[in-house]
Amino acid sequence: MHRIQDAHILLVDDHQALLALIVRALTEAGYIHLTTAETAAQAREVFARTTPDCVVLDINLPDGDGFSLFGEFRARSDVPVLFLSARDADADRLYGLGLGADDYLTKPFLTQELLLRIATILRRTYRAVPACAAPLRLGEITVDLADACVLRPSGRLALTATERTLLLRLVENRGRIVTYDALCEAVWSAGYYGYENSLNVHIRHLREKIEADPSHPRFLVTARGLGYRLMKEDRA
Amino acid sequence: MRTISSLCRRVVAAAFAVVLLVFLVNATLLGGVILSYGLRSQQQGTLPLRSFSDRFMPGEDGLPVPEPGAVEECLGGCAFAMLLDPGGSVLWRWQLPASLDHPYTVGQVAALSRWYLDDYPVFVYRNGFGLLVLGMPPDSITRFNFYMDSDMLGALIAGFVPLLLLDAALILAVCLWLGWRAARSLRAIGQGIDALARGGDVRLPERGATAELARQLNRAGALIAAQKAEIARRDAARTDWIAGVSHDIRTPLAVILSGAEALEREASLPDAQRRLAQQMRAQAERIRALIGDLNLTSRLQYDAQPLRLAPVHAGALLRETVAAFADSPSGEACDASLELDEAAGRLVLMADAALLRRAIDNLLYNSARHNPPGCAVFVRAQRILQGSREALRIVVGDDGAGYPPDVLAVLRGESIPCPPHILGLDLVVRILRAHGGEARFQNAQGARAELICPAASPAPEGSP
Repeated sequence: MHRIQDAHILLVDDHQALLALIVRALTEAGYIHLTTAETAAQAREVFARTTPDCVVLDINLPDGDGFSLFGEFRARSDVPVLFLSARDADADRLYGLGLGADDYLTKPFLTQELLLRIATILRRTYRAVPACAAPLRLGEITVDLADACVLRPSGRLALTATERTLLLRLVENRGRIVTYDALCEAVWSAGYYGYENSLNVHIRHLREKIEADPSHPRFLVTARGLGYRLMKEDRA
Repeated sequence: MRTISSLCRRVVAAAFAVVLLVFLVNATLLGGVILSYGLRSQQQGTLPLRSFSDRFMPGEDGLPVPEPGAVEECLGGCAFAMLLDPGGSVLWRWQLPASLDHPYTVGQVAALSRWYLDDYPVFVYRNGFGLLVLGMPPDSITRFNFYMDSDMLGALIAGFVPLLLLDAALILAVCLWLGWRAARSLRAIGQGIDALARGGDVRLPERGATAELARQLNRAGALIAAQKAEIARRDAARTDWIAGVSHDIRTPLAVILSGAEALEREASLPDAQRRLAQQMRAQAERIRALIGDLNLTSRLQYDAQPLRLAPVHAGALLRETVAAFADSPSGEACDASLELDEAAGRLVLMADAALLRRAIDNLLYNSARHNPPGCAVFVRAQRILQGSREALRIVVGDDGAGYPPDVLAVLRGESIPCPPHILGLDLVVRILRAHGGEARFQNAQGARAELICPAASPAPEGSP
C-alpha cells in the first residue's frame, strides 16, 4: 500500500452505534476500505475471506471474547491488531498487549486518538508513506520530507538527517507540543538526558531554513519550558 | 516473647529477693532479741552473780559474809541467796524462804544445781567458803537440760555456713524452676498475642494454668479473622461492583463522546450547535475522567492497585504532562506553564508514572474547570531535601478563585455538615501517599496544591 489510508481495516464491536461512529470518523480521515463485524463469527468469516491490513477488536463480544479471537487471527497472520475495550483494568491491558496486540485503547476514547493510533500502527507495520509526508507548506517555503530538502524563493536547502528527524516528529504531531524529551529521544534514542542544548542548536538551524524570520518564528514555535510546536496555521 | 522472658526473670528475681529478705529480717530480729537479752543478762543476769560469789569475806564471828554493798549491787532481781558449807549447812542466807532454810544433802545439792529448787531457778557458784546458791524468781528463767555429742556439735558449726549457702542455692533453683515453668506456659500465650497483633492465625493449646487465657485468645483470634474475612469480602465486592458499573458505562459513553466529536467537527452545523456539541464532548470526557478516578480510588483504597514502580525522570514526566494539558481543549483555554529548576529536571523518582501523571492531570484540569478562560495554570517543581533524601516538590496552582473553604476543610480531615465530593483531589492524596509522599492544599492568591514525592535514591554527599 502506498498510503495508510489505502489499508483495509476490519472493525469488530457488538455496539452498532459506536461502530457507525468509528466508521464515520475513519471515512472522514480518508480511509476507504472498511469492514465491520458485530460478532466473533462474522469477524472470522470476514477475516478468512478478505485478510484485512489492520483489525480494531472489541474484547467483550456476544459469542466469544476478543482475546481468543485475536489468538485465532494471530495463528494465521501477523496482521496488526488494536484492542478497543471497556475493560480498563491493568490486568486486561497487560494481558492483551502480552498476547501480542499492537495497541490497547479503553473506552470511552477520543476519536482523534483512535485515528492517530491506527495511523501509527499502519505506518509502523507497512512503512507506508504517511499523508503528512506530502510536501509541507509553511508560507512561501515548501519542505519535501521525502527528499529532505527545503524549497525557498532563494533556492533549495538540504535538511540534515537530524533536522529531518526533528521535523518529521513535529509534523506527525502538528499543532501539538512535542516535548524536549520526545524530540531528543527521536534523535538520540534512550539515555538522552542532557542533550537539550544540542537540540536547541538543531532547532535554531532548522528555523533558519524553514522560517522567513528565524528570530520571530511563525511555524516552529517554542512552548516555553516544554518543547516545540509546529503550528497548523500561520501564526502571523 | 522478650517481654515474657523478662517478666519471668523479674518474677524469679523477686521471689529470690523475697526469700532472702525474709531470711535477713528474721536473722536480724532474732539476733537483736538475743543480743538484747544477752546484754540484759550481762547487766542483770549471771555476771553480777558470779562476781558476788567472789565478794565474800570472813565476818566477826568467823562466818563468811558478803562485802558491804555487795548484796545491793549484785543481787537485784534474785529471789534469795544462801551459802552452804561443804557439809550442806547454811552458813549465810539472804531472803531465804523458811521452807528452804535447812541443811542440804549431797543429793539435794546435786539436784538443785541442775534445775530448780522448789520452782525457783537456781544458780550455784563455788567460792572459798562453800557453795553459793542464788535463787531467781519463779518463771523468770527457763532452764534446759541440753547436751550434744561433741563431734556432732563440731560438725554443725562447721557445716552452718555451707548449709546457709545450700539453702540459698536451693531457693534459687526452686525459683528458677517455677519461673521456667511459668515462662513455658506464658511463651505460648506470648506467641498467641504476637500472632493476634500481626493479624495471623491464633491456635493455642488450652491446658495448664493458662488454659483460660489461651481459650480467650483463641476466641479473639477467631473473631478477628472472621471480621477480616468479612471486610475483605466486602472490599472485593465493592471494588468489583465499581469496576462492573464503570465497565457498563464505558461503551455508551464512548458513543456519546464519539458522537459529540463528530458533531463538533461537522462544518455544516450552525455555530451554536457546534458549541453545544463541544460542551457535550467536554462533559463526556469529564465523565470518563470521573469513572477512571472512581475506579482508581477504589483500587487504591482497598489495595487492589499494585504500583508499577520504575525509575522516572521527573523533568520528562512533568513536561509530557503539562504539554498534553496545554494541547487539550481545557488547556488551550488557560495559560499553562511549567517552571522547573535544573536539579528538579535531573531528579529520578521511583514511581508509577501513569499514577503520578494522573495526579498532576487532576489538579490541572481541576484548575481549568473551576476558573474562567484565560486563567493562569502553572506547575512549578524544585528539588528539596527531606533529611538525607532528595524529593521532588511540585506545586500545581492557578491565579483563580482558589479552593472553596469546605473543600479545604474536607482535605484537612475536618468533619463538616454536607461535605463536598472531592473525588479528584482525594485521588491525588491517595496517589501521593501510595508513593510515600504527601499532598497539601491551600489558597494563596489562587489554588495551590503542593505534592512531595521522594526521589529514587539518597542525596549525594555534599549536595546543597
